[in-house]
Amino acid sequence: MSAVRNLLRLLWLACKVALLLAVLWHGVQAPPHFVYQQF
Amino acid sequence: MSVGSWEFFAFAALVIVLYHLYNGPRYHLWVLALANVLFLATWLETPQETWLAVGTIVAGYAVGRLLQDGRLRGRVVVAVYAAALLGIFVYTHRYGLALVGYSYLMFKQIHALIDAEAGRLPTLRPLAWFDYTCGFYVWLSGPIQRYGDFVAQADRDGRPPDTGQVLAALDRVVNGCFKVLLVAPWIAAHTGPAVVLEAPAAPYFWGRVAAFAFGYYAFLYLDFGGYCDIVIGLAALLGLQLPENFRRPWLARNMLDFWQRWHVTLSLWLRDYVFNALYLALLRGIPRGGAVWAVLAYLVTFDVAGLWHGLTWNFIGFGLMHGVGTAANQVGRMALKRWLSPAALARYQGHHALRVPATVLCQSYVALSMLIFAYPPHTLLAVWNVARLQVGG
Repeated sequence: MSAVRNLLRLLWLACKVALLLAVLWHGVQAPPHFVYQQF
Repeated sequence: MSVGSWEFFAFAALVIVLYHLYNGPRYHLWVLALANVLFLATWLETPQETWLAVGTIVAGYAVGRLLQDGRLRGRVVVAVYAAALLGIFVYTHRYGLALVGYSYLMFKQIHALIDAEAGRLPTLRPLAWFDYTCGFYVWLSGPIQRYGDFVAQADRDGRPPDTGQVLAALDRVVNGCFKVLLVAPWIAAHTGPAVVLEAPAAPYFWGRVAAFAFGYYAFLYLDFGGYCDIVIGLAALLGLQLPENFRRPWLARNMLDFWQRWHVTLSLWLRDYVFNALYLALLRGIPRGGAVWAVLAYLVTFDVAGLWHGLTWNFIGFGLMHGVGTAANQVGRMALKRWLSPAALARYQGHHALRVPATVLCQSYVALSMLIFAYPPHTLLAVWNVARLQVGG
């Protein structure tokens, strides 16, 4: 049961990574990267 | 090497694999030390920056050990050292020489030395000190972990996390990436002052005003919160648990509640080393002024927090708003405790009809403070004037 659950979680994670990469690949603007205090 | 970049993830993956090749606290500390040196090397661009970082880390360790060994005594030593760190911080800011990550290095050192002087810290060890002060995953923006917490975890047998923990940590990293790389930039691009100023006659004017009003708050939460998700997730893959920095701040119903949810590790640091220190010192001076001293301590603490971001009027304004907000909140809390019975107070605090408007009011106040933090006064004035014309027209 735990193995099935982990497999489903892994699949879900893979989908999210694929979506993230797909959106980034198609050119969302560069991140502003912490415009607040960073020192 | 920025958190969120491809290089950073490749580097972190390599460190995690190397870290789990062998299970032993000393081995883990050495792997972390190697990773920290390599990471810092990407940020230290000039010899001055390198000397500043190395000098601060070595001096902090030396002072801490001398305090623990009893060869240096008294809070005045810590105060002088903290003043020196602050002096360097202000000087390097003033002349554009600021070292990225220095303020977090300063927070950790001040905490460690105050606690070392008070005898609340385990004996400092060079390798653990280096890994604590220079952790590559927290160097840029925290969270601010405490030394005792770090050492307790580092000294444990660091067995690799199990499958469930790995998946949870990876999920957190991916969620952080969504926030930092996609949602926060989208919000930044679509909620700036231009959405109000460039097309005042376009439809949904008040919707665009609301987007501007809450946009920077949302951006900051997603950008900083996403960064925290990434570093907390990566640390979990190493088997290390970092303290949480955000606990649903959008649910805060008042300013004291907000600071228990927003940048929590900084908030706790400010409470322990600024607010409490100042409040107790004032109470020792004049014991009868408790309520007044609490208000004063809130005002000073949040002005310090504002000024830490930089020595400009918008940061002073931000600090002042949070100082006034928390002080007013404290006054209200004391008045309610005096006027209401404990049962009536509990009913008041749990009342949904009060909770919703209180939350909306608190979030609006915070969003306004974030606008003051982010934009120059003339930009805010321009937006205000456009909105006023709409009402008038």
